[in-house]
Amino acid sequence: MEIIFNILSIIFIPLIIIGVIEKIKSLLCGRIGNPWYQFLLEFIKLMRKELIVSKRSSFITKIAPFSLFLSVIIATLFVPLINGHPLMSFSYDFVVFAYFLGFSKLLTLLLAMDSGSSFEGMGASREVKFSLLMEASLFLLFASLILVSGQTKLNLMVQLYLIKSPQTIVFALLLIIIFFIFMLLESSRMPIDDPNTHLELTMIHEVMVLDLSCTHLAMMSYANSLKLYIFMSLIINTIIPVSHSLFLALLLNLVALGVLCCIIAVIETLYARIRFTRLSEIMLLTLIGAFILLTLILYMNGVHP
Amino acid sequence: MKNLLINTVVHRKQAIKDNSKAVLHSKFIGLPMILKNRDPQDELCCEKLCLNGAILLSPFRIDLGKCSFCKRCSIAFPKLICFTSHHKLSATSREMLIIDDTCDNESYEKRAILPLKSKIFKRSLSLRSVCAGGNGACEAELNACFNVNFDAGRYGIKMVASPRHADGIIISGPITGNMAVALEKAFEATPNPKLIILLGCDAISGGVFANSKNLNRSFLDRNIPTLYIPGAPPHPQTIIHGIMKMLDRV
Amino acid sequence: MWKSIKNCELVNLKELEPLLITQLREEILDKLHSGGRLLALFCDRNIHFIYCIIALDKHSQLMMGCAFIHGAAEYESLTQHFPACEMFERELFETTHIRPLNHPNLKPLRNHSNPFLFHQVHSKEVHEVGVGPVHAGIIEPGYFRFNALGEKILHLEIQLGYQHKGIEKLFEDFSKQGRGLHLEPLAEAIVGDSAIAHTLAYVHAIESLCKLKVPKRAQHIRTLALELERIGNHLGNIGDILGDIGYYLGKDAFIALKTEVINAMLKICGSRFGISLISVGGVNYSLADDFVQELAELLTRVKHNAKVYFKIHVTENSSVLSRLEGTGIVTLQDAMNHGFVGLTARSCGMDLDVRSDYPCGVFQEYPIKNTLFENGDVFDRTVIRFVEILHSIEWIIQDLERYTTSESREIFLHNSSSTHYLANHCVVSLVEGWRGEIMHCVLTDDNGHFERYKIKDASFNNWNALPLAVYGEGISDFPLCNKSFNLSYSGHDL
Repeated sequence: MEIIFNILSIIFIPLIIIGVIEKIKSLLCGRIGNPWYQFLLEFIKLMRKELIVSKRSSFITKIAPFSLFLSVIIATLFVPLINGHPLMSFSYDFVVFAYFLGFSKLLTLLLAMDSGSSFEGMGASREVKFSLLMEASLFLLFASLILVSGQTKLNLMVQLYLIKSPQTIVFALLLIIIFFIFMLLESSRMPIDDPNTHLELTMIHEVMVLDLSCTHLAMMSYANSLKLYIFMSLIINTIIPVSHSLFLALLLNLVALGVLCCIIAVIETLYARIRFTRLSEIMLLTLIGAFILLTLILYMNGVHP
Repeated sequence: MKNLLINTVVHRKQAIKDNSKAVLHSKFIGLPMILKNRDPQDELCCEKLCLNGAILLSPFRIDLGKCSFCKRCSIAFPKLICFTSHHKLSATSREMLIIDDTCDNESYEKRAILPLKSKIFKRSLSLRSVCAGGNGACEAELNACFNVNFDAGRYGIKMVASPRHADGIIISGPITGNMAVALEKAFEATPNPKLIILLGCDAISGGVFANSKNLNRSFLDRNIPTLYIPGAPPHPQTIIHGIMKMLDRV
Repeated sequence: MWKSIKNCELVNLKELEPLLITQLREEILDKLHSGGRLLALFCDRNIHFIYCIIALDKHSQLMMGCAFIHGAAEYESLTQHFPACEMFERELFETTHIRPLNHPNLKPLRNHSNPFLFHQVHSKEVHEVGVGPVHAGIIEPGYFRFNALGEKILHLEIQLGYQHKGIEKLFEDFSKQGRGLHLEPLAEAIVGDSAIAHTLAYVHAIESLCKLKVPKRAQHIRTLALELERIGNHLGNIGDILGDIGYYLGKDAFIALKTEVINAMLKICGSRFGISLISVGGVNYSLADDFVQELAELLTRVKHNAKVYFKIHVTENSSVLSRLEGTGIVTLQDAMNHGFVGLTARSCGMDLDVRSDYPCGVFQEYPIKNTLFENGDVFDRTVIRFVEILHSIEWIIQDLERYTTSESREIFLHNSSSTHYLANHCVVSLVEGWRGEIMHCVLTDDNGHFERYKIKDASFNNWNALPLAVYGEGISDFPLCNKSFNLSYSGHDL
């Protein structure tokens, strides 16, 4: 039963959350805005259109969109979705999770460079620069999580609500914040990247899909949305406990998703986009923060076993 | 938080609840009406007055595709032509844009737009704007369609950054020779099924620039537009209504 | 011999004594050295003469001179001494094929028949990015070629001309058909968002040529419309600048205000851009007394809201300020060397405003306050728009009182349709559009038709500001800098 809900949530929730965030942003700006299911409608329309591929592109453009979609799905298998139980889990599965996400990123970069456009090359180089810094932070975060929770499976590592001691709760909060920034970067949200921008010189993620059409575009958009959902899910599962009632778990999950969407929408609305040349400062800050956190946790563990 | 509250409260009042029921101010220069009992001498002078050649004789008609809605014919000859404030001006064929003295607001609205047969774009339409010589006014009005006031985004219409993401191109401007190649390439890069929307009288017929030697409108000989939106520039309500009627949403 | 003229003053072409090209060049250099500013440099349609107009802003005088071409093939360029002449000489070369020697950047302006040779940096580390001509947003076309080292812009080159429609020739052709008095629709179509300003320049020129005196009321309405256009565009621009940094909350606030202002324009004449308002001889619509009251209340409300929004969304918002301040700086020295005008010039510290330097119409009696800033960055270009909005609103509200108490109710000269204009005369008409100085110069021939109709929009002078502003900036700040100038592609390409 839970497995069925998990699979349904992988299929449907990514199609809805982008629309919900955009709708909340529109309401905050004072407009009526797109319906919350608009992304789903666009997805359906894109699947019915013709594929256009540049003459200069190679086999990578043909296989990359579906392959990266598949890698993100494989990464999702390890993520706790509804009620804290993932579809698959084993010790140190977070490494597989991180590297399948990394593989999807590699395919995105290859796809971007395959079209031969100068913008997409620029977007790819920006993506690599930030990923370099953020991947290091991610692994430091995972290390901190292992130390704090004592578990090595991804779904058990993130159960920070089990922590009792007050000092570790502070660390847990900091972990969640760093994770949140990581999520904003990975799914190209403000104030790091503007998903609605029409200025190709400022884009990071959006520029890499400029040459895609129909099913390729649909799959890429879906994969990006799924990545956002994965990170939101991880954050939610740090706070919402596992419960016996599936119905309660579903309800809590949806409410938490809604609250998180609101928080993202409010942050996106209130802040202008950070100057590009200062984005690496934020990334470095996150990396240093994760490092200091890990050091503190190690120290605490050493002093208070 | 105070900013958010001010904005949300003040601007929600600005958003037009239902664009299909909107009525523009009575002074708006909308659909012209040709009056009866005309003086043939006046008709000849009126035809000479129009810079765009929008007035046609025998019988006396107005070609909305050439008209820049400057109203100077009506100011000079108030017994021939009178402009109403009806903003629903778009049409799906070039012939529908030519009106005669039997045409009034309701009859024009009924016949001008034939909704698309294919329902693929009904709930989600992505357009790529190509400005091929436009002077900036049509682009400003197209931008205004997506603001807080008119909010065309709520109907699923959006502007995209790449022709590969688009369902059609919306052309503004008379199509200069220097932009002809770029326009062609942008259209080729749009996946099928696709639309062409002509925004403004400059795009439909060249407007006041029709006699310029620097234009190259051969693109329109090879590709038949789906929707014509007259005006110079067209009001955002005209644009939104035209697209919505074409998609069969009103 | 140079003729000294004022804004909208007639010159008898027979009184202009043509010089040789070399002589003209020397005299132009002299005048530019003494503080003059090149306003126009063009030839007539038959390519017999070159005309030159130099502005002496502090004396409110224009100097007009001309030279015989006589089969000359080249001359020493002016640009090598005064970079401000660059675009003018490129345009002149494109039309006359008389080569300016030692011109540092002699590339085509509007003609795309030959490939444009972009400047290249030959280095393994520098990459080139080309943006355009079709841009990702809803905007006019133009091509930008960057040479960038990673994220830093080393060089930007702009190729325009995609919008070239041959507007000047159209003016002349229509005039030869006898329609020269009714070209307001063509003037309104030059630059869409400055329809009022360009139409005013046209009608002022024609009214001088026909010696028509426009009723006072009509002059008030015209100036009111010009200032309304300025307010609407500035509000929209501030909104767009905020939109380009991703701050849609601020953008929506300002765009909503802009909508209110241009809807007021619709209530005056039926068009949001002022189409059909102005005609040769007057205006086509009057303002009813209750509408005047409504307009004054609207503008007071807009002023109050603009102040509140500017405070909340710009000056008190640190994330916005961190993007706007210090970005895209144009120095005063650059502005003076390259001859920038209008908003761009005033944000750098150059005090240029046609409304005070060459006042015409109502501005002669009731001047408007000037604005001047000094840093020349994106923030200054945003604040200057805000301050101009406040000044314009104040001026309009005072003028509305003068309007309602004016004696005559006439808004149109009804006998203008039967007037001919003077043959062999020339007139220069200057108007301050919201971007800056707009010039229409008309030369009539023996039959009283337009022999040459020369148009210069503020964008023609100011496009060179953009490469200067973005040198050394990050490539992702380019759209913000571009939007802070918001120049017209159509106004440059004509």
